[in-house]
Amino acid sequence: MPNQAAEHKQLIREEFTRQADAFAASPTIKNPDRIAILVDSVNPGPTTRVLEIATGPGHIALAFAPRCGEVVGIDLTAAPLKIAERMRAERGIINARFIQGDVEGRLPFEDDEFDAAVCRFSFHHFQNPAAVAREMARVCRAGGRLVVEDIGASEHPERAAYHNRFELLRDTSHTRFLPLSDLIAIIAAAGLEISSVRTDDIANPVERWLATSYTPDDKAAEVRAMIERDIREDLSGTDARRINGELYFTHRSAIIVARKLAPRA
Amino acid sequence: MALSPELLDILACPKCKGDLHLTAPQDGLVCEACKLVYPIKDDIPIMLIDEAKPLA
Repeated sequence: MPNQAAEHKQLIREEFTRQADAFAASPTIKNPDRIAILVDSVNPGPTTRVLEIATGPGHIALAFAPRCGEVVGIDLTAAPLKIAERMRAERGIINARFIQGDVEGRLPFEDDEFDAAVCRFSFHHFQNPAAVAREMARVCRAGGRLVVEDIGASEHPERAAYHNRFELLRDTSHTRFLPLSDLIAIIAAAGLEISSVRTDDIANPVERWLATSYTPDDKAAEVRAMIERDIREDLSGTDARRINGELYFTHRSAIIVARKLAPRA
Repeated sequence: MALSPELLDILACPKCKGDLHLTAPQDGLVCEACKLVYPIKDDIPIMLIDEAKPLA
């Protein structure tokens, strides 16, 4: 494995071990209405087998469980998986299973075994998101659904770069938010047909967002300064603003639903 | 929670893509081809090549 990739995976494991409890409790991450949109987009039935990539504390997988046949959540980091497994046991769910594995490597599953593969708010951590999309496609059966939700960056490269700079200052495991057009292109290039794209805006309170990631004080100060400058100079396309004195900006979330096509003879 | 036969059936070795079987005490998944055991800790199979143990 190239050193850079190994170092990045180590960063992800450190960040999500440190952030595990706060991340699991984050209102945006837990929001049942947002999670229901993802479950609805798969429209699972009683025999549907679902894979959740980078499941973290398992909120999505556990929401699928009562509505599908079987769900598997996989993640690189042990700490959030322990939270997921604890919640599974507490709720008496028996058709969800959590696995620790490298979602940026070869997934530990055979081809064509899942009816759907879902991944939320994780593509921006990946160094090679196209490879992850291909692996999600590989483990899905023909006709199966892929659902990817992530935050989109501006379609303007300089503005996307400004946004990604302050996201990386906040969380060292951040790689980059892609413009929505790039995310769609990556999924289409994995041999999938895009069925729908839905976007919505999430107002992000800066102080809560910094607290969730335990960003060190010096980095948090830099992030605030960048967002203040953004308010004055309109640099990131995230609608940075103050509401009643509190700093906010917008995460534009996109849910992309795609279908795996049957191989051509 | 015991590993279901269905899940065991779809799991593959992340190194060689080969089939896996449970250890007798059900505390790991064995890849005979790679001579590796992927441990199961707190009901979570750890399918990481770096953390697999050599098959004794």
